[in-house]
Amino acid sequence: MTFTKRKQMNRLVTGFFLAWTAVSVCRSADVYFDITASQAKKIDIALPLFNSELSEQPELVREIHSIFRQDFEFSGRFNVIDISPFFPTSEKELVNPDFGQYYLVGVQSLLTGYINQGPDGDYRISIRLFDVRMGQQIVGIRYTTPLSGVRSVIHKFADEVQYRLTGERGINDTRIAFTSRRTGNAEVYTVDPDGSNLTQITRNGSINLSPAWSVENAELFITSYQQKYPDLYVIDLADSTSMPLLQGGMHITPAPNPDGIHLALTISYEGDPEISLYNLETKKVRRLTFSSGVDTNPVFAPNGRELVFVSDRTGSPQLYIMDIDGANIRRLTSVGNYNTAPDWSPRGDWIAYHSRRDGVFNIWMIRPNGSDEHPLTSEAGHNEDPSFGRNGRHIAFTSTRDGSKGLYVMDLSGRNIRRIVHAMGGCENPAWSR
Amino acid sequence: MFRNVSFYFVLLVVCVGLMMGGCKKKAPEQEFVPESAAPTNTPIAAPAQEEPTMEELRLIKLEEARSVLSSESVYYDYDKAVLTAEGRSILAEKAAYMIKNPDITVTIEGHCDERGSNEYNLALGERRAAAAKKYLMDFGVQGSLIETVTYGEERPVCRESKESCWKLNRRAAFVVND
Repeated sequence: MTFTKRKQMNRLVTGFFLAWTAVSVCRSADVYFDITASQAKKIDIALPLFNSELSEQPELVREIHSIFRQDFEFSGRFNVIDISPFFPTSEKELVNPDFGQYYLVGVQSLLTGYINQGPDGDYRISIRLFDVRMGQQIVGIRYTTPLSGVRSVIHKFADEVQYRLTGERGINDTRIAFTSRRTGNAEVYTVDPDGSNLTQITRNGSINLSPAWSVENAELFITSYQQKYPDLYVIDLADSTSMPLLQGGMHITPAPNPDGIHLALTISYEGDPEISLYNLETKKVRRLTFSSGVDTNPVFAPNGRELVFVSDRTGSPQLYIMDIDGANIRRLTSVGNYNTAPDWSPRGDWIAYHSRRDGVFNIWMIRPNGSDEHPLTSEAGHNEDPSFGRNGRHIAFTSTRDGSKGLYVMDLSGRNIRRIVHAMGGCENPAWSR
Repeated sequence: MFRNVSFYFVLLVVCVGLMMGGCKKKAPEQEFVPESAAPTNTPIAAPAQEEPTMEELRLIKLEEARSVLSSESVYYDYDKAVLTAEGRSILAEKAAYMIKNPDITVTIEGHCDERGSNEYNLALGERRAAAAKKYLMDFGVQGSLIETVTYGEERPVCRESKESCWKLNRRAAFVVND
């Protein structure tokens, strides 16, 4: 698409958005179905960013604009109103906008920005968020970054906006770890939730599984077969070095406690997989379950005091919840005969998992008290391995809907599905940083 | 005192010497002797008549163990770690061989088909390998001769998504340790 064509296109799109906004003022609530409907009132936000006449970088500005739009729309918390061609801004206006104009078209929040390239080649990007009704700046940040870091800077500010306006941390400046057999054996990769920045983390030619983020997102715990057995390793993401923590036998499915000290995992006791607790400071292991058969895949509640896990103690794999000391075990799922791969929402209100019914796997959700069980996916291949984003509004998962098993993200209504990774020899075990 | 020490040292050397000698003598007594003797009829048999070294004998022995133990896997029903009747009879043969050959050690690998979560399948593979090990031990094979390792669904022998393939992947495979 040529530049002028894109410009025309933009005006068309903008016109549509203005018309659509006028309609949506009275019916914005039913545009999307949202499972957390009580908090679903969307904020109208305008992006008259980086007036391209002022900026020396029209293409980059356009790109930034589209990253912001994508981030805000995917968050589920904003209606993006594109009004830039109708409100040309002067440099002064970027700092001190004419709030009255924006108020008239129903804009609640406004972003402005200024970008220029320094003599060293790096970009200086200043972005401000204003409350239109109050006529006040809420936050302004100045970033200095090479071209390759611009996307990440925009993600950071989009998350900042979401945090300031809704109290929730956005998901844009996060990473999703997963495994892929692209090179022939399973290695760990990370990717941004918009599909950019795909990075290979392990390169040992062995089998690498089940990445789990440490509490500060600086490390990944994984299971790796570098020494014949499925051992527990920790990878320092700053320099990609890995260190074995527990070796010999079977040490799988690591799950960090939010306290940053304990790790739940599955250890084999004479061939019997049991949930255990590993203290990262004292290096001591404590066994939590004692039932014959498979007990595996523990995940902590956000309060760190309970665990959901998988057990086949009644003959088929089902989800159970227990206290952190192994007491008070109660069964969570009762329908279907194959319910595994649980993840507990960071909000605490839902547990997502996958369930096999009529031979097909789909993502389901259930309340921690066993109520409100319902599917999020259906009739689109197999859908497996859910992992919540840090504000509990989105789920990463794998799906065969487009052929080979790819990595996807959706919201809690099961809609707004975004494909992140495709055609990489099968993706497994997504884990979203928190 | 000093004399005593040197006496024990000499005794030790003699004992070790006897033990090693015993080993050397014992090895060639095994069934390979007739084999190497057989080619005497053929005219150009001279090189084959050399005594096999310890290492060669060990490799031959390992090859034999592999042909008995590794050629056939034990298969399981979907999502089950319980041995089938067929699986038990295959294991009985392996147990008999292992009891007769206690110098052989094995690793039993537990495997699953691709369906289900690969994390759950890791645990299931562990259970399958453990079930096979327990059956061998019930026959009298020493547990210390058997290691187990789970591969979950990570090492399929057949890669198509259909039952004819899946049933080959749900297995306990026997690897003879070097």
